[in-house]
Amino acid sequence: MKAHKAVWMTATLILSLSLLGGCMFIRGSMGDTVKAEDVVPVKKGVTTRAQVAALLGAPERIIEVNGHEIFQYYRYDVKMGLLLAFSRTNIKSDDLFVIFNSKGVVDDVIFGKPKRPINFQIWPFGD
Amino acid sequence: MDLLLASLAIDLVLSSCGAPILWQRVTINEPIKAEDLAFIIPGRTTFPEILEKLGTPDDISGSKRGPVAHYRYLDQKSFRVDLAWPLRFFIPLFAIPVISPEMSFADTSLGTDVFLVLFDSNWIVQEHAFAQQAHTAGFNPWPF
Repeated sequence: MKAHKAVWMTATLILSLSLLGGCMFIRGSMGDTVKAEDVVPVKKGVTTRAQVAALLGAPERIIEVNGHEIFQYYRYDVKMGLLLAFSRTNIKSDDLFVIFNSKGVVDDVIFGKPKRPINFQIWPFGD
Repeated sequence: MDLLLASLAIDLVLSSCGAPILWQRVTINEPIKAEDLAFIIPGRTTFPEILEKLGTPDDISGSKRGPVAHYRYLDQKSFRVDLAWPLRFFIPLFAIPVISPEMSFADTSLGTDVFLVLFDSNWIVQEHAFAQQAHTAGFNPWPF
């Protein structure tokens, strides 16, 4: 009788452990965080393309928009949670755009309010 | 497009994990609500006002009429079930590394909300358009 019970307990334990898909929390990021104070030295009508590159580093992307050259800097932040059979991944991107005029001088700096920080979540349903 | 690739890569990584059944969701940025866009008046609203309310756009591109700012929200929902998973309990332990039965059904759907703002050369809003497709993503167990 005891052996029968032990077999059932072992089988239940194996089944339970196999059902568990595991538990994972992963965080990833790409690019540097751009803070408001990093952008302060960049002056419209004064700072040149080379100076922007020296201050902020090489841009991730250079875009040509209607005769203006734009440096794009971005940072991605990823948080992923996995528990058993449920997983949710949240990704946030923060971007900085520096627009130059035809002479290679800063025309505008596009840096709005930073997006809200993302959270670790597991439940994939709902909002 | 980078964001789309990132979400698909995460989907691929997760789908390889060992759970026999998995509901997974990937969201990029926060949902865009129509009421948050009500303040925009074409011909009057400026780019700094847009930045104040909506934050920095995800992308800026050019068009024949002027620069275009892109705001995106992406929602990807996936469901996967391995119907052959219970068979592993009927396989001798020594054979498990060799025989690993699997018959998975999986479905992934992707919905995006995209808000585009067209500016003139003085960065004043000329037109804007909002496409809400994020709600189309769902967890679907049947891929056929």
